[in-house]
Amino acid sequence: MYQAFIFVLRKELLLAFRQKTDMVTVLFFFIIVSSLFPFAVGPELSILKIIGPGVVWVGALLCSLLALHRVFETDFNDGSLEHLVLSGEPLTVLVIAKVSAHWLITGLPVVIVAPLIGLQFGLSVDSLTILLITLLVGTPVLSLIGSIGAALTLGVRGGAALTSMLILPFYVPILIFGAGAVVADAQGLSIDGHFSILVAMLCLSVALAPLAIASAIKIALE
Amino acid sequence: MLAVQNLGFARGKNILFEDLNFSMNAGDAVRVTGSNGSGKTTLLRIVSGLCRPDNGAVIWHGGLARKSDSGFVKSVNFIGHDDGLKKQLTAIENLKLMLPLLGAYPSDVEIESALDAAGLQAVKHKPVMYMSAGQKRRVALTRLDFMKHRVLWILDEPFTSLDVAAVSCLVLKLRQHIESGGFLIFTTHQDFDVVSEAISLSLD
Amino acid sequence: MNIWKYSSPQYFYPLAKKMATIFFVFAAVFTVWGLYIGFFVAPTDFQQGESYRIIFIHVPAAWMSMLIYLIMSFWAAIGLIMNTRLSSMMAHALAPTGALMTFVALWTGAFWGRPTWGAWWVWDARLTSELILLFLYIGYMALRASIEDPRRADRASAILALVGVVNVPIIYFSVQWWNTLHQGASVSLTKSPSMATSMLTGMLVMALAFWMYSIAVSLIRVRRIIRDREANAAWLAESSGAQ
Repeated sequence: MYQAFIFVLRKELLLAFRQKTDMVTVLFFFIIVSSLFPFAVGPELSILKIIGPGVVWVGALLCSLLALHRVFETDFNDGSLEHLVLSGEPLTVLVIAKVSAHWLITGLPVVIVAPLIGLQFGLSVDSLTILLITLLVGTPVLSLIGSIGAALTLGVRGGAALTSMLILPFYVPILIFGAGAVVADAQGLSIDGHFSILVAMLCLSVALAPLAIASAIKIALE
Repeated sequence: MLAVQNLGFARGKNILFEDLNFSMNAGDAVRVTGSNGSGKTTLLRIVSGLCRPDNGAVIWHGGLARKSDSGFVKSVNFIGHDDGLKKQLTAIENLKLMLPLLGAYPSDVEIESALDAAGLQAVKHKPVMYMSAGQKRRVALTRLDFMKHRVLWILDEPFTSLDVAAVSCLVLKLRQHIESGGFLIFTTHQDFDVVSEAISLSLD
Repeated sequence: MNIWKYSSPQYFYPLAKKMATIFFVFAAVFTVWGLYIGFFVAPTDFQQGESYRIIFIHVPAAWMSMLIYLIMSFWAAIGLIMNTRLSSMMAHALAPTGALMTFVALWTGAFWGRPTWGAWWVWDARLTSELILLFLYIGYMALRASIEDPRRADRASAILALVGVVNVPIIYFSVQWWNTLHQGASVSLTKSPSMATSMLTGMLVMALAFWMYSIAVSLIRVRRIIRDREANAAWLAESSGAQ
């Protein structure tokens, strides 16, 4: 089981390494989308400071959505998803491997770049640290929940738009606590509450999302 | 022993088959025939456990195949229409990362010699995307060399896009498998009886 | 009498017709009674004037919108686990009514908000949760509509409904929490300090009317779904010939 996890992860990372453009596209999407806001609301740092955490979080969320369809789609089209299901290894474990790989490829780079974007919005070093930490805990939850939508819409017409429609409502709590933590800290409030809730959401989604994803994959292959 | 009992499946309002029964013992081969759209692929997917039938059941050694304790999933070796190869990876990489999931841990040397035997020496280090359909199919079928432990081979159109040499090479592998007590279920469009000892099952 | 036989579409189909008629009659009676209480019996609210009377529509609709999501998910789960066709059809039939209730709750909320808060929309915790609930219903129906194979649609949408059930409380509490953090408590639609008994009665009667209406409409919709999906069944041809 552990071995199967490692093999799936290795395969995904090797594939991503062969196709670096995917990774770079998502990253630049994040940078460009976040940079649009100053043009829309004006360059006053006082305003940008207020909207900064929200913009970075929404940008990260959109990136996660953008990259989602790639989690299972190619595997679905080329038949390797069937191999995963018929391997006899627990599908939930293989699913966690795939989602982890997906997060490492598309989520982690965004988390790393996020503080730079935050700098452009005039966030303080404290705020940037908290932004980084909340993104680190929150984006895996986005990948896990998003993958449920990706698995449910495999081979279905309407693809990416449909997935976003199904998944976005479920992103609301993460957005509230993720961006909320940065705002609360800037106001001098304690963020222990935010942080524990984010961690709780991560635990809950690690425990439950793979079950939903695995069932959705089996249904899609029928 | 594998038995299929009273299997029924309808796609929408179109009934593909009803009350389908057959059984096979170790060393048997079943060749599923039928016109396009008669449900060959669906039948294979149901037997392999990918798809749920509307009625009936698949029995493996006396127990329901879909029960997790039947050991059925780890006995199935299913190769569908799609090769399951990643186009960015080479033939060797594909096999090396695919086989361990199926319970086979061959060394690089073993994989390379199997690919050589399949006539793929020249392309085995190239990404699969540069290969022809027939070459890709050969790579996918090379997997059979390492699947002795998965006794129930379910192959959907294995001969498609293969040239004469590759067909006879595959037939040899299939023969060896059933002679050594394996199970084989396959579909084919080809009229010629490639595996002559196979029991024919028509869905028309 | 074997009650389980009604879990088969064949026996449920004629039963649903009879039941729908009865529930429609009840719905009409309760609506008339409830509106009478709402408009003529219940006193004018000293704080909000006459505009509060919209609660007789708003509150029952909001209750139903949440309840229907639960019932829908319940049937979807039964359909997924027991592989019973009728349960999945029930889930399918409930979704549009649930979405309608959510929409009515939002719409009436906006109408109430205009005179009370001075704005059509405020990011009040309840309204926001209701909006997200509407998105969940729309997602459910969109997923169902885009999958052609009805059995796959049943099973995939059931998973989505279950994911929704786990998430609805999380969403609700996050929104509540977010709301209290960003703005003080506002006048709430249902937290009138002194609610007259007649107001409460009116609301409960209207809630019953909405229940009856939802059941009746869903039964009619189940019948239509059965007709669509079992088109090749012999019993359907017989029964429609007989009627």
